[in-house]
Amino acid sequence: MSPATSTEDLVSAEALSVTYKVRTGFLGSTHRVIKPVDCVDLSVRKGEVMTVIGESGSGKSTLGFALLRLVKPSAGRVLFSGQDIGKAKGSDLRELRRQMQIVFQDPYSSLDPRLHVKDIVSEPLIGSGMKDPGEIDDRTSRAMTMVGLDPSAKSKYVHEFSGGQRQRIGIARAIVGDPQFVVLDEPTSNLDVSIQAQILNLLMDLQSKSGASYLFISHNMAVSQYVSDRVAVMYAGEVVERGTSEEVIGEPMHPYTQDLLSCVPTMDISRKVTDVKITGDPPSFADLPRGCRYSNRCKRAFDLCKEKEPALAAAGGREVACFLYHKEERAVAPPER
Amino acid sequence: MSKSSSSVTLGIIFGNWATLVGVGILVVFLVLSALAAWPVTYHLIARYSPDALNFGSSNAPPSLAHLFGTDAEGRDIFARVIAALPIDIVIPFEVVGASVGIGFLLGTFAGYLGGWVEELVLRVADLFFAFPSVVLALTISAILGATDEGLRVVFTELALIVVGWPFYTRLARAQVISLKQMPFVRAAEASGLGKLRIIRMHVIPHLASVVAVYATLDMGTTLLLYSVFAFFGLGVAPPTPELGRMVYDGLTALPGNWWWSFFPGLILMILALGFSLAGEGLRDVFDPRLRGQR
Repeated sequence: MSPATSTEDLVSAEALSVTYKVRTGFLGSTHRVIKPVDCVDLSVRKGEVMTVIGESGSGKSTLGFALLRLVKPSAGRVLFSGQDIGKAKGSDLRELRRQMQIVFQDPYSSLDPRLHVKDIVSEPLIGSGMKDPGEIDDRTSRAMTMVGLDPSAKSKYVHEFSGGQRQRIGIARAIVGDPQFVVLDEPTSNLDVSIQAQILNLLMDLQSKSGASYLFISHNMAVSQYVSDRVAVMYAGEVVERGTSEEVIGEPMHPYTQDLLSCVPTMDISRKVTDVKITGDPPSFADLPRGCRYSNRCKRAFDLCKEKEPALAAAGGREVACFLYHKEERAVAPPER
Repeated sequence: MSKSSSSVTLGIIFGNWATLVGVGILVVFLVLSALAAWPVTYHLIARYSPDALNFGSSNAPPSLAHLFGTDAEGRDIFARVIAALPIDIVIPFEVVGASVGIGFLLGTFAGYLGGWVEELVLRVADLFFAFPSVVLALTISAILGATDEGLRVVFTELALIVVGWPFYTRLARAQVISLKQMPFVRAAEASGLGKLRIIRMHVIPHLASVVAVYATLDMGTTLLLYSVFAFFGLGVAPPTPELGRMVYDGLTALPGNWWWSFFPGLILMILALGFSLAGEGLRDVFDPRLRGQR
């Protein structure tokens, strides 16, 4: 956890929604709109590690992409140091791109197999308009050293590296331009367990040295607690609980967070083991349940949950979107779905 | 990898017998077709001029004097095959080259940009797809070819390009669409690279290998298709020798004087085989992942 955390927002999403049109019916005659990110407010403070936890298909990666303007939001906006990234153009946009980077989940498909390592790592420098080959080479070597790669491997192709080394290349590409904000899209989930800790330690090391803000996207509760200052739990495109990692992971309040946590195997015999299983599948975006989106799987759901959708509101030192903790008036406007 | 990229390329060519055979065939035919420009070649290799009529030795079967035999006019078929090579080798390169060029460009931009550009390009391509390609090309070639005897070769090629480009447009577009979703393209976008640069660095190198394989295979097909045109009196005007034309000229003499059409056909087949084997090798050159796998 980083010491240099301030309370100032670096990146903030305001009522951010991302929608996709899905063609259905004969010859795609009808459109159906799905919303993997539905009216999400989220901020990442300067120098902190914020984790977004959720199951596959909860919209967490799409949220990460939208924060970097890799997908276009359908509503809401993203501010970076107060600047609306959706409106940036030309050199402003290039400067923004240099400030915001991403490490992908898959160390194979995220690195172009036809390029030399140096061309992959230096890409953000070239993208930001850097021209001097000496400087590019210098910074590439430095980034490679920082992630524990030998700069002499610059002229190799990525297929000559192992999965863990490839992820180091991906990380070197992300940090080469000294970004202030890095999205880590499940950076360890495709790696061997023995390598995962190494890569996590490396990332946290780089974060504390640079003082940059990291948005860590994960489905792993144990890892999230270890790395993050704050946590947001996503379910079916919405944030259902948000707070410091001690609060949210130490004492989860939202039934979904509780159920998720109870699925994590633990060595701690003092922890009361309530062998809760989450039954059913996460809902399809094309067919969300009425009311609270977790209501069809939630063991504590009552009538109200199936009718109205709870809004994120303060409770117990964090924010939770659940009627167990606040009354009906905190429901969001009846959805027009 | 300490080897330079050119030595890697050579390694692929010589490390795989199929590629070696394919490239070997093409090299031999290219050299022969280059030599065919000089009349002296025929005297040295075939000992006869391709156009020399000799009714005294007409319809001769293959022998040491006439390796591939002679036709009804007593012309040496071996000499005529060599004389036909320059045309038959150049046509596939020109036709496929132009089809690939047009298709690659349109398909790449259609796939990457999407939206109305994609719709427009695809609908026009579909329009050409909707017609049976051979019939369409025959019609175009026949109409245009009737206007000018001398330009008939060019018009026939043009007709083949008109029916050839939509395939490459669709191929390139499909590839680009799947590439566009690859995280490394997303990463390039996140790095602020412009669209053109992303297409050049991340899309075209991946496309090139796929298109190269199809294109070289297609060269063989184009060669054969052109021969079909020759059968209908399009393309090269007689008496200029052309392999496809020779095959069909010989059909009337089957099964008796089989060598009229057999040897030009055999050479056509070997040439088509050379293109496809070389195409496979080309793919290996383009794809570093396949290196060192044998």
